[in-house]
Amino acid sequence: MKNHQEKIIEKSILIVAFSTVFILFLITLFIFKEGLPFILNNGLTRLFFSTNWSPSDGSYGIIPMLIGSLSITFGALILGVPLGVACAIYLAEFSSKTLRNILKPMIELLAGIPSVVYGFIGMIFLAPVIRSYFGGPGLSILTASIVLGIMILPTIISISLDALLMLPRSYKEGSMALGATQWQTVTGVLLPAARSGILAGVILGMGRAIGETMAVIMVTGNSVKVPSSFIDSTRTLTANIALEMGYAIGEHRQALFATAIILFVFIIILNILAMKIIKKRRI
Amino acid sequence: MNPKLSQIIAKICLGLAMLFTISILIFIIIYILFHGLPILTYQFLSSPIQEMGKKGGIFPSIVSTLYLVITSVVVATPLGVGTAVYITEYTKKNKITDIIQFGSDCLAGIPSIIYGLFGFTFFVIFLGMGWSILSGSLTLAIMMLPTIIRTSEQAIRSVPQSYRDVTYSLGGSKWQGIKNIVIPKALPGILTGVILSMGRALSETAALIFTAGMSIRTPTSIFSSGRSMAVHFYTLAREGLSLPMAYGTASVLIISILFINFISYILMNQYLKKYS
Amino acid sequence: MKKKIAVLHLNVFIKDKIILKDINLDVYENEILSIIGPANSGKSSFLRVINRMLDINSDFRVEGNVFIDGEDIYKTNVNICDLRKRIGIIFALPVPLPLSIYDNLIYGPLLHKKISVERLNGLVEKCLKSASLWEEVKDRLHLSALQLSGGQQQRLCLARSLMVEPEIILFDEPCSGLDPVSTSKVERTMFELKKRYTLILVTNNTKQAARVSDRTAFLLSGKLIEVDQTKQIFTSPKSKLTNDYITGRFG
Repeated sequence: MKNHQEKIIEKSILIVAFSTVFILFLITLFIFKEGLPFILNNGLTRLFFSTNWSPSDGSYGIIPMLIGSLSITFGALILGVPLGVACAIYLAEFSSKTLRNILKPMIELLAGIPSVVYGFIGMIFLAPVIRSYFGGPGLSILTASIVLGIMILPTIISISLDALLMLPRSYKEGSMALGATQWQTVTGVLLPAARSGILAGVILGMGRAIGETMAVIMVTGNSVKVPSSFIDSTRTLTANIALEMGYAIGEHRQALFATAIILFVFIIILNILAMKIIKKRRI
Repeated sequence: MNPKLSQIIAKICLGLAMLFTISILIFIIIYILFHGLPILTYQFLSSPIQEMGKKGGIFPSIVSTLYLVITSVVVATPLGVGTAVYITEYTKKNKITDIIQFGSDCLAGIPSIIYGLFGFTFFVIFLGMGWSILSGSLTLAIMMLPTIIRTSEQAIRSVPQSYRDVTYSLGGSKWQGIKNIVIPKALPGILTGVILSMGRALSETAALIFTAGMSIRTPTSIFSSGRSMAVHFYTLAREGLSLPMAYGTASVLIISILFINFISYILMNQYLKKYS
Repeated sequence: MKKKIAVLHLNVFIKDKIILKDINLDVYENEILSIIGPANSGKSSFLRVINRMLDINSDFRVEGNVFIDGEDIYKTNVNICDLRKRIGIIFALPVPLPLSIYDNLIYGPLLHKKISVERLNGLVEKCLKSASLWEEVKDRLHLSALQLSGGQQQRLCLARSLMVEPEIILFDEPCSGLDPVSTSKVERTMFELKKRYTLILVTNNTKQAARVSDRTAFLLSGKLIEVDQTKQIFTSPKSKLTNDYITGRFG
């Protein structure tokens, strides 16, 4: 009796465990189902070889949005990576345990703040500052980069910190025993040893930046054109989907889903890359 | 450069980076609360949304948010904990766990706008649930899964193997050990994950616009449409309907997030204390 | 004396590494059999073969037969849970569950069936008395088991094993973490228990084996070197290896 019951429980838990995989499959299926017809009918050329997005004329060039997404992600990394890694080093090597126990939950809190709140602060506080110092409309690539750079900090900090804390103590002791200062140990031994973990954090942060939607809608200005400078307004791929999905029909809707496929595939690749890097380090 | 000098400079720079990061956090919280707290009255919390949010309060949004958070947690927790139990107790590290882990990691990385599109085509249209709390909650539940799986897995792994052996040695089955000892002992850790993922549900916007809809009425069941506080705040802020109302809503959001993080921090600390 | 356990040509492999080689050994009812031998000689694995705890990590293989009351426990239709219920085990380090003393004790019986509170209470008292712990804890049954001393915890674990009414009790170096006073208490308890149960004691401490057991077996690198009356083993062992070990010349 007991054995029988045990088997049933094991089977049900196995089914539950595969729910994540099943859901991932469903997501892929439904996004592709909606967007793939557009790609199959037009090839990728119609999306990629045009700088003109105007659904009313049947032009679906995503180049302006692609440039918008990439430049903002790049900008976010320029701010977020050095700052995040610096914080991780500080937490791992230069702060006392008590201080770390206070600071870590604050970093988690930073991750918990809703993206709309980040977007709102960017819009209401940061954009006017940028406008008065750099000119332009204020809602710009620069503003979005700063907001996103801050938003990806928790990801970069926590993964880099884990990478640093996982290093064997002997690395540090070996270096210090040779008379190196803490900072020499960090740059000479710890950072090189933890670099793959840090890289994984950067990649995941990048995925987060590319995927972010609501915050960038609030701070980029959303104009559909190839931006001319970093204080110019722009629109990202994600923002484009969110803004137009509400009223898009027919081919327009398919084109938006096709954009989603591109985003989806790109982010899955980034994730696989990050996972590979993390796993290799564990072995 | 002199190593001693570079050490001092580096220490100062790193400390400043940390200080800067923390100041951003504190700045955001204070900025929102400073502008929003004066708006927070009983009236604001208990009145319906009037004139698209220019007047009245946010009562319907609070109800919608509660509906969404609770329903999604109810759906996601058994799935997430079950997955964690399978990974940790029923199989060793092998291809199967790799596949499940992969699924979970991918779900964690997918941006919320894609979840929104998926929820829209799958729950709202394909399954015919329409814009409803249910569609929104199911979408949120999927988004929560990775967090719940990861934290539950850690919590379950930290329960000593000897506790499981005791159950076996007394003639108990694997499931009895899991049910009676492993899960109760891992509960604080599991709860931490569940609570943190409630935070994610609370903050979510992009996925909900396409799944739960934007109705400003108070939902009466999980089949009604409803806008969560985050969605309402987004509409207020972006469409410039009413800045004070936006600040007020944001304050409620921020206070809820602070509360959630505080609770999970307390739980986690208790948990760590018990096991170290 | 009646044979309780019969082990025939037993080979055990863990991850393709041989742990026990061709063991042939009988255990009789109401005796204490000690198994001595240096670390990694396969003593603990032997215990885990008998109560099939080895099954928990799946990378193992058992060849040969283990009979308990004439029944082969590695036959496919054996109910492992029922088997383990008949065979209690005490681990090297006491493992009180993080529950109250009382809840620790009733945990075992409730795994198998619903029992009335009165019967449970009776059983608790009886088992605590058998484990000579009753006098020390009878007024604080609802305190956490983690607050007991190491020796008390070990006797609590013993009482917990008794709660499911086993026939055989396995001791896996039960006193390795205990001070001499607690050790002697556990040993005295074992003497009492042997009237009703069959006991197998794995120990690193040859003196302990000499003190408590009726017969002693000497294991070395997975092989059973010799098994005989304890007195015989410690006065004139047949094997030179046994002699070397008990006189402390190696191990």
